[in-house]
Parts: sequence; C-alpha cells; structure tokens
Amino acid sequence: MGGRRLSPGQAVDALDEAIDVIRGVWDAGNREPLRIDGTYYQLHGAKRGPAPAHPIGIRLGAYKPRMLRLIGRKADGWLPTLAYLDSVQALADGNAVIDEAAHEAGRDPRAIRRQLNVGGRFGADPGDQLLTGPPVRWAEQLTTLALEYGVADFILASDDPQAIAVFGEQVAPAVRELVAAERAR
Amino acid sequence: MTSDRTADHGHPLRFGIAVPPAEPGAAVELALSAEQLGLDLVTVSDDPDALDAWTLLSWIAGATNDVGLAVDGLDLVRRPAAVAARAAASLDLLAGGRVELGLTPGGAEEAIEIVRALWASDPTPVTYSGTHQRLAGAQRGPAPAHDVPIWVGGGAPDLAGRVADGWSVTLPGLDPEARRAGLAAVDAAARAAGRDPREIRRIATLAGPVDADLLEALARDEGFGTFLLATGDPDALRAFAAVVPVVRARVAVGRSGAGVQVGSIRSAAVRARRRPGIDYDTIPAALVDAAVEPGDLRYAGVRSNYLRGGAPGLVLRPRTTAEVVDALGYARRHDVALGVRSGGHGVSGRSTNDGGIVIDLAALNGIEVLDPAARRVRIGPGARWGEVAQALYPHGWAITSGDYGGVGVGGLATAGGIGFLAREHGLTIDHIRAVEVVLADGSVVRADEHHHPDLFWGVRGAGSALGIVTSFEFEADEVGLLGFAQLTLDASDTAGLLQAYGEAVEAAPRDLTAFLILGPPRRGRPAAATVMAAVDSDDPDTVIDRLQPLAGIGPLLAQQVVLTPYPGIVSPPEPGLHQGRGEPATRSALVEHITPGFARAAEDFLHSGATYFLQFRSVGGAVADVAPDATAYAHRSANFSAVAFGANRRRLDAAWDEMADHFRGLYWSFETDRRPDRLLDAYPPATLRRLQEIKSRYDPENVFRDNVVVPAPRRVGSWRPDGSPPPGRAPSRRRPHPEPRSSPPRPCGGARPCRRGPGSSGRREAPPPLRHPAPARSRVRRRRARAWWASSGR
Repeated sequence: MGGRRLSPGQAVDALDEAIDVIRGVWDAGNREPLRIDGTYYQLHGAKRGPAPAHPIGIRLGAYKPRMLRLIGRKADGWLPTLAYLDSVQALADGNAVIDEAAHEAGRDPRAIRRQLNVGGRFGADPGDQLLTGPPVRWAEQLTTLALEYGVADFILASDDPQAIAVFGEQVAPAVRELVAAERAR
Repeated sequence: MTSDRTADHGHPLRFGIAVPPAEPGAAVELALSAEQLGLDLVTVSDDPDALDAWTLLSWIAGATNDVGLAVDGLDLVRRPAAVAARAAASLDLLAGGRVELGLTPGGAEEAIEIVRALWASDPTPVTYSGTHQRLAGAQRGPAPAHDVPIWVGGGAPDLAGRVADGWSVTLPGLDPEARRAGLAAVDAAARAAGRDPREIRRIATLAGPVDADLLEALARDEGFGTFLLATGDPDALRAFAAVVPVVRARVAVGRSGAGVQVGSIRSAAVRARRRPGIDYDTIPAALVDAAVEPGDLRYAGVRSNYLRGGAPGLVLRPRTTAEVVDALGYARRHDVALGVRSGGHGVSGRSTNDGGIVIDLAALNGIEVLDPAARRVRIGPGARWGEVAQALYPHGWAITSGDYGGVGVGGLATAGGIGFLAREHGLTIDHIRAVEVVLADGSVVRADEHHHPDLFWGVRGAGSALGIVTSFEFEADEVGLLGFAQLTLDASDTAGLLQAYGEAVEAAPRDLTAFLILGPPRRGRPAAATVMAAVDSDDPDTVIDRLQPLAGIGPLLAQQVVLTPYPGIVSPPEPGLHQGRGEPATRSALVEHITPGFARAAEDFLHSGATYFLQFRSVGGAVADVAPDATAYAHRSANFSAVAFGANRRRLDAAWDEMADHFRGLYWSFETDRRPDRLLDAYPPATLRRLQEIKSRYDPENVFRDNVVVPAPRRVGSWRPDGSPPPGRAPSRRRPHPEPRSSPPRPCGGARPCRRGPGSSGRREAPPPLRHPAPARSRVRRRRARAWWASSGR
C-alpha cells in the first residue's frame, strides 16, 4: 500500500513496536494516555480504546529465528503454513526457539498457541506427501502433529466446498477423538 | 421570494441518518429503521472516541440491503489515504456499490488525489510525496463497484468546488450567512475549474427537530440535495421520515413550476467520453442514477457480455416494468443500436453494441412461487438459471435450462433452452405458461394461451423480435437427485464415436440427456471427447444402466459419475464481470440423426482447423412431443443441436457450409452468421410467415431488430418467406431432407441391451464398467469457474 520500505530486520523491530501500539490502544482501562517513543511508531498521548470484547490473540506467521523469538517474547500464537516449512522438523525447531525465548521473557511457553495452515488432497490413494489420501490418513497425520509437535489449531486452506466438508465432518472429529484417547492414556 | 432560482441544482433529493458511532447494536437498529422508513443514506462519523468508522459501517452494510452508506468526516491526516482508499473500495464491492466517502478538510486535497489514483484502472504503481501522504510505489486497486462520491467538509468550499463530488456541512453552529458564502465559493471554484457547479452535491447535516419549510428552502434556495439527521433517537428518526414525503412533494412541485431539471450531473470528465447520437440529458429521472455511460467507473463491468466485447454509449438498468417502459421509450427516440440484456451470456444476441443503448434487465431478477400445488413460479428475466435452480431445489423442483448457471433467464426463455433435462422435460420455453411483455409502443401486456395468443406463441422462440419480457410464469417439474457423468474419451475415430453417440442417445430412454463436446487434435494429442450426461434418476443402478452405452462409444480415458441435485449441474454463477472481447464466431445446426455421412463430414470439419470446439446436445424426446407449429421454435423433430466455435469467421463459415446438406435447421441462440439465409434455417417458412404477421402488429416499426431480425414482408429482397432462393443468389445448399440413413436405428431397451451391435462396434472391446456414483450429498456443487466454451482453448 505504498508504505515505507523496511529491511527484513527493521520490519521485525517495527512489528515488535506495533504489538505494543496495538496492545496499548486496546488497554482502554488504563487512564494514562498512550505514549510510545519508538523508532518506527511514535504516539504522543494517544487516546486508548475501544477495548475489544475479548482478549484478541496476536499470532504471527514466522519462519526465521528473530521472528520466532519475538513470538516467544510477545505474541499469543505461532501460525506458520505447512507448505512453507522445509519439513516437520522445522516445526520442532521453531517450537524450541519460541519456548526458549518465552522462558527468557519469564513467560510460560504454553501461553503461546501453536497453529498451522494446512493444505493437501483428499483421495483414495495415499501419496508419499503429507496430507494426501483418505480422510483417515489425514486424521492420523494431524494427530501426530498435535501430539508430537504441539499444534492445537489446524486451519484448512481450501476453496473447495467438498474438501471443507470432508475436513469438518470427517477429519476434525477423528483427530479430536484420537488426541483425546492418546492424552487419556 | 427573490432568491436566485438557479440556486436549486436539481439534485434528486436524498434523506439519511447520521448514526452515533458509539454502540454497534443501536447503530445497526437505527440503520435498519432508516432503510425500512425509505431513507436513502446512513452515515457514520469518524470519531476517535468511538468505534472505528469503517468497521462499524461494514457491520451496518452487512445488515442492510440497499440503503446508501457513507463515512463522514474521515480524517486523512491521521491515517494513510491509501488504506482508506482500499477500505472504501472493498466495502463498495462487498455492499454492491453503496458507499460514499466524506473527508475532513484537512489534508483532503492530497487524500483525494491518492484515493482516486488508487481506484483508477492503471497497472502502474502510485508514487506520491506530499505534506501528509507519502506513497512509495503503491499497487492500485481494488477499484470500487461504482464511482464512489467523495465529499469534503464545510471548511473547504474551494476544494469541494474544484475537485470533490460533494460539500458537506453541519448546520447547527454554522450561521446562514457563512453557509451561503460557502455555497457561493463552491460554485465559483467549480466554474473557475471548468466544472458545472451541479456536479457538486450539497449535503446538510441537521440536528434536532426539522420542519419541511426549512428543508424545502435549503433545497430550492440554496441547492442542498442531501439531508442527514444526526440522531440516536428512533422517535426523532421516525418524525424525520414523516417529513420526508412532504419535502419531496413540495420540492417537486416547486421544481416543476420553475422548470428545474432534476437529475445527477456527470462530471465534465465523464461527459467528455459520451457518444454521439445519444441525448444523455433527457434520460428519464428514474433511470438516471443507475445508468452507466462510458466515463463511469462502473462501465467496465457492463460494457461487454460473456463472449462479445462491447462499447455501448449508454447502459440503462431499470428495476421495474415501469422503468423498462421508460427505458424503451427513451431508447426509441434514438437512431442507435438497441441491445436488451438479461444475463449477458448470449451468443447470438446483441446484448452489447458499439455506441448504442443497452437495456440491462439484471435488476428484474425476482424468483417467486405463485402456486405450490401447480408448481407455478414467476421469474424475472434478470435472474440467472443457477439462481433459479438453487431457489427451486428446496421445493423439489427444477426447470430445464441451459448447461450453465450464469445464463440469464430472459435470453434463454425467449429462444428455446436446450438443457440437461431436455429429453425428459422438453425445452425451457415449453414450461412457460404466461409472460408479461413490454411492447414496442410502451404498452404492457400479459400473454398466455388466451390473451395475446399470437404474441405468446412468438415469444417462445423469437421473443427478442417482439418485445421485452419483464416476467415469466413457468411450471416447474418435480426433479430430485440426478445422476451426472463426465466421461472423457479418445476421439481419434471421430466419425465412429459420433455415430455411436448418436445411436446410443436415440436408443436411450428419455431420462437420459447427453451433451458431447469434441476438441480437435492439437500438439500431437488426438481429438478428445467429453460426454456430459444427466440421468433423471436417483437409483445408482438405473444411472449406470443409462450411462453404460455412452462409455462404450470410444476408448474411455476418465470417468466421473455423481448423484447431484440440479443446482449441482447448473450451479449459481461465480461472481465476476463479463470480460468478452471481439466477436464470437459460431455456427449452429439442428440435425435429425447422426448418419454415417454426417459423422464423416463432422470428422472432416473437426480436423479442418476451422473449429476449436464442437458440441452436440441431445434434443428429441419430450422436445418433439410439442407440435412444430405450437411455438416459434419449430424444429421439433431434431434429435441433436450442434454448435461450433471458430477463431476465424470466414474459415468457420466455409467449413460449416460444406455440411449444410445434413442440417434441418438451426437454433438461433447459437448462431452468429449474419447472412440472411440463417433466418430461414432457424424459422421455417410457415413459422416465419406467422412471425412476420405478428411482428407487423406488435412491432411495426422494427424497434427490436438487434437479435432475431424479422424483416417486414414488404422489405423482402434478399430472401423469400417461402424459402425459395432469392433471384441472383446461389441456390442454398440446404435440402428439404437429409440423406437417407445407411441403416435404420435399432430400437433397444427392455430385454434388448442398449449397446452397439457387433455390426458397428465389432472392433472395440466391451466398454469398461462405470463406477457407481458417489453417495448422494445434499450440497454437491461442481466447480465450473467458467462455462464450457470459455475453457475450450480460445
């Protein structure tokens, strides 16, 4: 939209400040006018409010260490896209960076939700890729991502009504069931 | 009164409410009340102490249907104009062109430049360096759905006069002298900038009780056209709404007495793009706001139709039958082309043109059940068949239509309508029980079996030559789940496949209707065939039984069989604008049987390079139950409707004409050859004679001449109504009867399997079994982003 051009590093810093601005504006109960004297954002006694109806989680789609550390420090969720990850190992690595940054900031790593945009293909024949094949195969793989990689929210990227229906009616209930059963053990 | 009467700028009066942006529930309630009370506009002010104006306005937009929406006093010093431009355009698109944008004076000049630049359709990025706004190569878009008017607040009358579309003042706190000085400044600035002062609307926001005298005076003496009441009180809103009709009536009387012309003024820039021969200043008042002319932002969305590029000089968009009458009366005063558009999908129809007038019926799109017991429904010509399918499905009904949900009701239902239920249920026109028609002279008549029976006869097959149908009454059929197949076949042996297709279809019970699409060989790949077939049965065994013979007409490469409701086959159109370019080159033919000779000729045609798409729809069955003289669609005995698309008109015509001996007529809707003989192919002599006679009574001056062209008998020159060749022209290749079939069709069914006998298919293996259809789902929807011919390689 024609905004200023920032280097990737500057953009992380600007985002860091932006989170403070957003949280500051939402903090409508605070009588103090909002003052932020940042490198990228300056607010000189801005009016706060309105406060949202519930605590809106700020989640970031991130892949590199500086952003992941920002998540550990300040964000409420990590939302990468499966297709942009080199492998599921990248999920484990990212989780470790986030957890460490959270500890350093004195936060409980469990305060940060792990989310994942997923896409794939439904069909009779299981392929050698993640999330290809019948709904039951999807359910098994998502269960593994939930139990071993901590993913709590799975978001299907699709404009195919039939795929959305299968995901909602078959995959999601199966994953809930499998995860609940495993956690109960 | 001594006031200057020219101060009334003749803007159509608009009344609205400025809702307090504090509490979303109350704001939406007020907005809904305003809409129900017939007010025109809801505005939200940009208040840092309240909810974000765009978010609240979007929430209101979602709850309302047609009331106008504006953010007033948007401060574009405090926020980037580029973000506001995207927000306004996005909401305008989402809300169907209802948005207006009011800016505070500070920074407005820069903001207007940026906002308009971002809305422009231009691929280059925007770079801007101003006092308040900076843009480093911003991508443009989205463009709003209509020309979003930009107002400027009271403190900047010069700016408003120079560049804006409106000047918005809050009356309390502004003394009348200052107000009048501001108005004079707006006018002066407009004139200095070469604009007509009427291009700028004057918007007044009022508080407290308002009386008719004040509003009348503001409109008549000062040129205010839009009045907003700032209130959060529902009772005050109702009191205001009660005053509105009084003000409207008084101002109308005053204007008529003073000869003030009422209407919105297009900007000088828009007027500069007007076409000659069209009197834009006398567009009927009811139509002027929705009318689209070449300089309007909305023009890109209405200029073309699905397959044909266009550049009409004016598109009128009536919403009611009365407005159609107005539009037609206006169009008749002009000597330019007149197109009538329902869905804009037609191949033959001239629903767009170059420099002419188009009457676009899209807003006449109601779908209403009249009599559940009789399955009688009333449908407007602007509805799309996909919408009709979806609306009738909950009743367990369907009306056979075309093969694509984006097609408009009007064009199809005045021509024929060859769809996936044709053999079972006939043509679309066979389901019409009555029509309301606007005739050339502006009269509105109802035609059915007993009233205007000749007109009723002609509307069903040649309606575009006789009038504008403004509503249809159909009798729908009971239609449940259907079997639907898409079979892909190798068409290397095109003639063999085609003949086998013809035999399989003719031998099948009526519950099967099949369309065959052939593509020529290209880049080393053989010719390919796709069969799309519907079986009116929800029994998987019956579905497979009907489809199996079709799976054997050639080597089967891929298959998909599903059970789906009718809206799954004729699905509602994807949103989007028609982007047709150039002129489609198509030819149509109706054939009785696919004889070996015709199959060979069609193979040669497919391989000639003249076509990229050749389709055979099965007709016959119930279509042939109707007598040839019962409607203006006469070729009832044909079993197939063929259509070919070509990239080159001349090559297509030459190659298609070669096959003329095999044809028994044509379907006008798919024909774009404009040679006069085509009319005789579409309408046999007896039909044409009756059509001429009806035409001479209902449209003696030939107002409707841009689609089916029915010449008056006295103007016969290049052809004769008895079908004999005109003097001095080569005899038509059309013969009264096609060549005899080499072998009579073998009836099958019952104990005899409907499969090709060894005589004709001995060289092929038995066809592979089809897989049973997928389990029935209530909401199966096939994705068809574009119709078949758009994806067929042009």
